[in-house]
Order: sequence, then structure tokens, then C-alpha cells
Amino acid sequence: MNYNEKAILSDWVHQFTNELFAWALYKTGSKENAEDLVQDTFLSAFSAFDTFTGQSSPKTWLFRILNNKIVDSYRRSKKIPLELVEDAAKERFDKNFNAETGMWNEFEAGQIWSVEEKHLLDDPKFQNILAVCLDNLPLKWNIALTSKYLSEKKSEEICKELDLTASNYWQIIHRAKLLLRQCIEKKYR
Amino acid sequence: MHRKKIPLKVRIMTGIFLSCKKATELMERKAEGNIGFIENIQLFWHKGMCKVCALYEKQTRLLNRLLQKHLLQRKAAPLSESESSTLRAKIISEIEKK
Repeated sequence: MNYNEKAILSDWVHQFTNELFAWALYKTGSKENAEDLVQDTFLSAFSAFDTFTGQSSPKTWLFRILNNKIVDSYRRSKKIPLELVEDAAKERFDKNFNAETGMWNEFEAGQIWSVEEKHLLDDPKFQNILAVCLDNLPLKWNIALTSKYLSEKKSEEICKELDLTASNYWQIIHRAKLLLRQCIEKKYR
Repeated sequence: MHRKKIPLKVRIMTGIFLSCKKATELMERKAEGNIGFIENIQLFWHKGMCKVCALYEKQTRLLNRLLQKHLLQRKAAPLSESESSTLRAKIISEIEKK
């Protein structure tokens, strides 16, 4: 039995290490951290092998473990609790709308929206602002958003990886996009 | 109590034609085909009446394209083949120890 589990795990190591590593590296920016995270992911998967039901694919399951590891390592490295960051972001989002009617409170459309798309793509200043604004988002929102636009994964798959309900997921995407728009708008002057 | 303060016109508007908050959420769902038939009609009418939301949709779509390209550019280079096999061997030997 044990032998069998090890064989399956080894098979997964060969199949998924590169993809998991690329994602961990992208999220942490450090090769060393990424290697540790991927190794931890497989070791956790081995310990928790009994809980793998086959309802999701092995890859989805492994990504879910990895995402939890990324959140944990981030939690350890930051002094401000993740929950506070998220609450503050929710508050910034809510300020955009009238609390009772849900209509826009104020909506600014600065000069960035008249700049040509092609120009923005090549503009280091804009790319820099986009990177900063992405980093300003709460980690979970950032992971959800980057999973969506980087990997072209279906929303169902991202929900499983991040352990979110569908309505939770759309709420996060909605809030994250709105705050990103606002952030870019403010910084690009 | 608070509800009474909202003008009837606004309540009808948001009830039938959605609030801006809801409309902007539906735009994200719609971009992935995750929107109901009725909601889609409501969103259509909402945008017809609300210039700000119509503008927001244009901007959020532009943001989708910019975001996708930005992320692809930033994505780190994958492992080389030798680095990858070293890492795989290391992980497998750790599993074997268990």
C-alpha cells in the first residue's frame, strides 16, 4: 500500500514539478523559496494522500496545497495580518458605491483611458504601476486574479485550488478589478 | 427605516435594472460567459441608462487585455532540464525517506 502511494507520488513529481515550480517562483520571486514550497507541497500530499478523493484532478489538488503553502509563507513573512489587509481593501471597494442604493459615489476617468492600448503595453511606467497595484491587492485576491489571467484556467478550477465558492470567487474578481482600475487611475498621471 | 429615504425612482431602477455595484460584478461574469439570460438583459438596459457603467465596462475589458499581457511578460523563466531533474530527484528521495 505504502509502496503504491510512493509510486503514484513519484509519478506526479515527474508530471507536475515544472508547473508547480513556475507558479511558486512567480508568486514568491525566489528560486530557493519556490523549490522549498514545491517540495513541501509533495510531502504534504504524501502525508494527506488518504484525503485525496479523486474528485478533482491530481494537478488541481496539488495546486491547492501549494497555494495554501504560499499563503502560509506570506503570512509568516509579513507583520500585518492578512485579514486586516483584506478588510481595508473591502472598505476601499465599498467607498465606491452608495451603501444603500449601490450607485457610484464618484467615478474619475483620468488621462490614462485616452492613451492608446499599444502605447501602454510598451510603456515601462505603466507596467511598473500595474505591478505595484497588483501587489497592493490582498494576497488571496491577487492569486485569484493572476490565476485567472495567467493560466487561463476555468473559474471552477481556480475555486477548487483556492477553496472558494463560486459566488465568493466572483466577488473577489469584481473587487480586485475595481480596485486595480482605481489604483492605476490614481497613479498614472 | 433607511429604506424609506431612497426615492422610489431609484428603487425601481436598482430593482429592475440593477445597481451599479451589481452591474459591474455581472460584467466580470459575462466576460467568462457566466451570466444568466435575465441578468444579461438587465445588464444591457443598465448600461443603456448608466453612462458611467458603460464606460467602466470598456475600461475593465481593456484592463483584462493589459493584465494578461503584463502577467505573461512577468512570468518567470521555467526551470532548465537539469535543474528540473535535480529538483525532482530530491523530492522523490525525500518521499522515500518517509
